[in-house]
Amino acid sequence: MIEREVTIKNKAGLHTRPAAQLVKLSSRFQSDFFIQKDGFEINGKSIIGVMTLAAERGARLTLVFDGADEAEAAREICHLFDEGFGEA
Amino acid sequence: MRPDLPVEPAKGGVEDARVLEERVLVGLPAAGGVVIGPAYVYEREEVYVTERALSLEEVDAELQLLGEALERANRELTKIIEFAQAKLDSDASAIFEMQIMLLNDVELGKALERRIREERKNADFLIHQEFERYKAMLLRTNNPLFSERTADLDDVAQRLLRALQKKRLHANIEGKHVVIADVLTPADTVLFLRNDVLGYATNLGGITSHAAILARSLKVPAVVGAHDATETIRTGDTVILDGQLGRIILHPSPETIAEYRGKIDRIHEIETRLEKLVGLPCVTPDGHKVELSANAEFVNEVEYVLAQGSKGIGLYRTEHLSILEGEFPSEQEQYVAYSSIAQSMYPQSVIIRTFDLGGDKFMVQARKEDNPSLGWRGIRVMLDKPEEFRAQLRAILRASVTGNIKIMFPMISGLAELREARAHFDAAKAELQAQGCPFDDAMEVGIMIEVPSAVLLADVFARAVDFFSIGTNDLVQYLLAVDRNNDLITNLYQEFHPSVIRAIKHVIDTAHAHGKWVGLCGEMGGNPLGTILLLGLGLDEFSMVPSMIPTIKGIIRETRYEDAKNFAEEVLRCHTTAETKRLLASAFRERFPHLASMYILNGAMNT
Repeated sequence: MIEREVTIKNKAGLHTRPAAQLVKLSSRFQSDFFIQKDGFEINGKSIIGVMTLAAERGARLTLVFDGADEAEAAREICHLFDEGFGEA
Repeated sequence: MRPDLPVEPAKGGVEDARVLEERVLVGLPAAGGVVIGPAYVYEREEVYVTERALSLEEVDAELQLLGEALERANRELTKIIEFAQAKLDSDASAIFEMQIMLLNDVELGKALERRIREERKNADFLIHQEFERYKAMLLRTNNPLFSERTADLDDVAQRLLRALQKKRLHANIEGKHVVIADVLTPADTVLFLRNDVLGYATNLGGITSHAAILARSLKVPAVVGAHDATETIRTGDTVILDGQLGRIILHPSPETIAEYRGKIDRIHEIETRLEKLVGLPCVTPDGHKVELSANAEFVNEVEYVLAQGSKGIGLYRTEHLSILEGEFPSEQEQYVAYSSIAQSMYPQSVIIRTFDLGGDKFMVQARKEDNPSLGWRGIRVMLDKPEEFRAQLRAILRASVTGNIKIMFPMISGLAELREARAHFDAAKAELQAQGCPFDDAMEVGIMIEVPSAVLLADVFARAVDFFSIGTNDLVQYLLAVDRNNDLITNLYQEFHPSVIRAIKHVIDTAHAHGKWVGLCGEMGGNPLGTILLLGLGLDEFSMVPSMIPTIKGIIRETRYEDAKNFAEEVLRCHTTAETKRLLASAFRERFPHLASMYILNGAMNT
């Protein structure tokens, strides 16, 4: 299991488009992927879960990856957060 | 209004005579063209659910039904996407992709399956409960960006419930119809288009609503804001949809049908005649030249805009860039949009209006306002969002390297606002300069004149900007204190009110005295009845829906400027709207009988 801390950088937070991007990417991996925020935990492969997390810019999230391809999943998903989902 | 036509003697008794009486429903002209055909009243069927307990034996069957419903809903959405991708740009089809993801959500599927097994309740009841739960969570965020998504959840939930209850999709209508609906969602609009729809009319919606935009881009006539159209009209009724005048004529009499067949023929005839004007300059017989340009918002309109003989885009609306996400687009996205419109119009100019949000437009406010039209909108929103404003200004500046972009600020009501907006503009320039990013340093800056205070301060503003663009829609609203969206007072919304005409004159005269030019981008610019008057008042640029350009050009090319000036003087002496309209209509009829038969038809101006 891998745990990573990320901060939301893009200005609009995890709104529709980044949420869709995140779900599309995470669904490609076998590993389970969870996002924790303020004591909540949601399935990172669920668009409804990611949207209802309502993570705004500046929010700190803990990402949990668990499974055969967890290292690769962690690397690619953290990268998506780091580059602010390609938004300014 | 038009005096009632004599009613034909009843053939099938009193009942029929009452039902078939001709009626005119008034709405807003959202997309041009005229069609005659049967109505199809589309009622967005709300699916209701009731809670039901399942026996142990029923559980598997329920799970199977749910699986089939999911498949069916998926097939429907996939079809819509395919169609949307073929007909619309990628932005518009993104709405539907999002909905497919919601439908196939892993957590949703798991929760439904688990609850059906454990709680042994019917699937539709549980679907309803799950979606209500998600909606409540999104609404709790108090962030409009997230709470707006509940509309998508509703759409998906309804689609899934319909699929489960095997309700027939109403959108699959046969044959050619004029669709009458309360309101049309993007999915509805796209679906109907697969069925060769003749045109649309909706109870609700403004000319900037989704359905209106789609209808225009697909060249289907549309009338919006027709109030009780769905209650008045029944499926199968014959209607005439007049997208030119914004009218629906229900149960047209044989005379009216004949009249309109004539109008349709004349439209074709005039279109053919006007096509020949495309390449000709917009100049009066005595040599006075004015510019005709188009109001536009999508780059794919450019071809059509140019084909109409436009001299540029007089109003490029930017709000559509934020319509899909309900958020501000990034600087880069905006840059791409602005530079593509500028390049495709080059060397003709494009006047970009900065985001005009709030009021009745697109962005859902975080807080409900009692008077949205007098509230947080236009430049006020952007000055409160300096980061987003700066991003837009940088995007416009970066796109201006082609040298044919001008910028204008909406809803300016005082000099302080203009100064603040210009300070952001200058700062944006400085930022780009520091980054070595090129832009057109000589870009013209203008403001929209829509607020009475701006009219009265025209001399002050004329010193501070390069041009004015009169936004008559809002100017009428604010000058006459008539809320455009209030049904109770639509008759008071009068664009040819004498005070409106005096305001326009004042703005033009003042600007000219300071050597500045004036455009007009409200609906009056494309209304043939106002053309001679506006020409005579000295308007320099008329901006309008592209489809009206040839007509307006035809009028101007046949009107001596000296005559128009005298006519404007005469109009300025009118004391009431009725008097003004009578004068405009009679002059129009006298000078342009062939056009008058088309535009004054059906009593629109028979006051």
